[in-house]
Amino acid sequence: MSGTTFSPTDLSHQVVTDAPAAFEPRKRTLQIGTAIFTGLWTMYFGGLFATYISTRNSFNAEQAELASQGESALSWIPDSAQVELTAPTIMTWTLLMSIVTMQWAVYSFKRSDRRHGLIALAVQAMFGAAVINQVVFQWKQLGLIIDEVGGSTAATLIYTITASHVGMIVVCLAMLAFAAFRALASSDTKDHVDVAASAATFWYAMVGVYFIIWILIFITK
Amino acid sequence: MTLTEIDPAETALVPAPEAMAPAVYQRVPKNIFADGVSSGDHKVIGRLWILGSLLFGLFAVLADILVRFERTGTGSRNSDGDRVFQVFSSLNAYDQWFSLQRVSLVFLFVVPLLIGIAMTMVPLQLGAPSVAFPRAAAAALWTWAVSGVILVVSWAIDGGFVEREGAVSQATQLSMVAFGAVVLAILAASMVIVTTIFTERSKGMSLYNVPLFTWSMLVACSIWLLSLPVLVANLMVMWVDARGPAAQGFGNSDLYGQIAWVFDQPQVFAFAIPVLGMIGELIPVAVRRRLKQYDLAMIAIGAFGAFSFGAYAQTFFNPGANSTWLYVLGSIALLLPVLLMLGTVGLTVKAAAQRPTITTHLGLALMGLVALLAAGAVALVRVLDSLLTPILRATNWTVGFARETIGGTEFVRQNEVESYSFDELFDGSEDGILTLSDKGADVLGDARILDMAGELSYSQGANPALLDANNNPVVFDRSWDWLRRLHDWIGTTFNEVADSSVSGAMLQLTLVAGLLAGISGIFYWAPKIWGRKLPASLGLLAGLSILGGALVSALPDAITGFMNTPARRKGASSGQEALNWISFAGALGILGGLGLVALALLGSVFMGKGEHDVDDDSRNPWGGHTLEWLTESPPPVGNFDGPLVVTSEAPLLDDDFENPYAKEGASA
Repeated sequence: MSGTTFSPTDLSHQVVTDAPAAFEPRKRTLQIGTAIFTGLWTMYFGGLFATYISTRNSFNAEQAELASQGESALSWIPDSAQVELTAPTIMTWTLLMSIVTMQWAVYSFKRSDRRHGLIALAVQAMFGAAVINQVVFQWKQLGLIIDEVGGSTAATLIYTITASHVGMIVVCLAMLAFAAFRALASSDTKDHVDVAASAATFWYAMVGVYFIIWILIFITK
Repeated sequence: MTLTEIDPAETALVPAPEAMAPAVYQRVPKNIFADGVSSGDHKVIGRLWILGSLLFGLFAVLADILVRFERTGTGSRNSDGDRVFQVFSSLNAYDQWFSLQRVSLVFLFVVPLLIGIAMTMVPLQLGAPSVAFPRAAAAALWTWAVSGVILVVSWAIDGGFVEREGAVSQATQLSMVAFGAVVLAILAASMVIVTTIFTERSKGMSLYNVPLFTWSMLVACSIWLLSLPVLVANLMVMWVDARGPAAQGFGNSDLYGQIAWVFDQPQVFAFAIPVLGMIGELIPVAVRRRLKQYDLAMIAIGAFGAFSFGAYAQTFFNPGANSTWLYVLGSIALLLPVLLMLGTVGLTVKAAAQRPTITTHLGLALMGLVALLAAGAVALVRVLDSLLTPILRATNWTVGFARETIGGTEFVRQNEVESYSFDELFDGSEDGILTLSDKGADVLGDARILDMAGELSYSQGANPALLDANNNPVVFDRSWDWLRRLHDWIGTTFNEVADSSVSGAMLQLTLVAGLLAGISGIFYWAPKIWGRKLPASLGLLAGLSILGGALVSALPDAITGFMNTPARRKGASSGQEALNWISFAGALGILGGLGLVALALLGSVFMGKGEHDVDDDSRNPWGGHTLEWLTESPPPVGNFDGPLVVTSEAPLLDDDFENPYAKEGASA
């Protein structure tokens, strides 16, 4: 087939009559992509949790055997560490509350209520920042160092898991920013509700992951 | 037609592909460099994945050859008693190259090759203008390429996944980060492909009638998306540990051991899933009819993928992970989908009116299937011991249980006295109630031992007997002794096989299966990927060289494995020198085959020689049945002139398919 040279700046060829419909817009693309992205993160944390549980069980079994032989046994989280439940519990409640505000944002965008949607996103971002702030506070409070005598690998695993969760929150915040910019730029937020809904999907997964961290690391220790 | 041309006659009817595509596709390349670096066109990205993987592949195979050459040595020692190496300067350097070889073979070579083909062909097979997230696809490509280079460089500066004493070097940490980035890039590309398959299908194309190659890539990418994040978790734990003031066993211990599950069964089979897709794609074209039992073929590929999920089989954390029911049955069941796939292929060929046309790409795919079956056979043998243990327990549970809990090591550990064999402890010469021998009565007088067993106890009344959990006498049935003896023999013979060089043989065969599937795809879709066909004779020769090389190099590995040679052996044991030389020669064959593929690509794609498509029907030279054969070769930006509507898995065979290109003389 031969023809005239196409120029990207020449748009005259687009002026057509009776043209068939172009490709349909990708309505679900972002949501499906986000669902897969969320699954990927879930498997990542699944791997971390499995490592944590497996290592902790092995360590505790070894210590129990030592104790049965009359030798002094060590605890999984070194005694020198200060594990307080206050901060993790406040974080859990903060994240649980954020579920409501996240849904508030989606609901508002769906109803073309840009103002409330943006307020909800701002509150949501504040919740995320607050959780990061508390995590940093807790790291300082814990006083765990990755050179504990006794062979406990708790410090390594706790830092890996909690820092990974902070990474997940940062991704959430980036998604919120993306949703906010889309809302600001659109004439009708209803057209871009899929962005907020995708951010919400990932946010809920993040909350679920922290709930497991709360129980696995801080409640059951 | 070049990318910049458009038929004026068509502009009156159909919007130009460029006009329908998002802005990211509209860049008109000024030169190859600008095209490659800045393009969001899935075909350009796919080509770069393919070329990059072949370049890394040459390096990976060279690393493989060096490791195999090192093994041909007999481990001679100098006057200080230190091992004398032939290629590498130290044991550390050998271990580094060993891990580099495995990491690069999988993550810089075979998997990216398959991703490249999928990135190019999946949207075309779906009738889509592009992939779902073109920017993410480009980001994945360049992240992979840059991280791959950094990964190789990190090895060159004393990095790699080896055991370290004390502080972990920065080069090792760089290896961890670079490898993590490589895996993340592959995950991003997989995400793009899966999302494309879910969202970009033509009208009427449900998931049940996507082409089989696309289906196999959906399954493969899904399994990668589920399992490789766990590998990233492993790497992250290693890296955080290594960054600490003193690593605590993750960042400085057996680094390769922590990620070895990726290179072992069942996970390694996840990198060969597209072999089945290629077979299902090419056989119907060869016999010019639809595949029989299409649904079964899809189920077979899906089941093969499900059984190849291996993130749970991490022996570093759970040494017994490779003897669980899930692992053993999964390893055996892996072969069933392959047989099922062969069944559908056999039915199709049988029902065809004509004999299949054996083309280069079909030959390559069949060679991949041979390699996959060989790998499956090795995997089956590896789990025989683990398979018989539960069978023995199921058929003669009490005897097996008694043997394992009361006799042998458990007994020694609890009482710290000498161990006794089962036959010493029990008088089991006759069928019937199991009773203690005189020695057994002495030894087992300690009730604590029997408590340990948990479900057995021993009655010391007038009729002493071993009782089960319900206080019934344990019946000793000698009729199952043949199974016990078989189990003992296999256990003795194959005990070390699970962690022997047999695993290397299986890995190589599986990866070569994936590689041959990839090369088959390159030759089959060459008109769409490169705009011209590749030389058939070179392709066939390359396939034979690669398959032959893989079999020749893997067989000695399997044999030495049964001689209990460890997986990460450094040199040949006495009497194994010849086998290791054969293995080395096989690796050279693989390199030769890759060289031929490179020659075919260089000759026909870059230097303009080869079977150009002008001599054939340029759109559909093989008589394919799927949508990619409708459009031009190579396809324009945007791929198709408009949306397509399909009603079956082979739309070009459908009478009611409205071919928008029919007026242009497309063979469909």
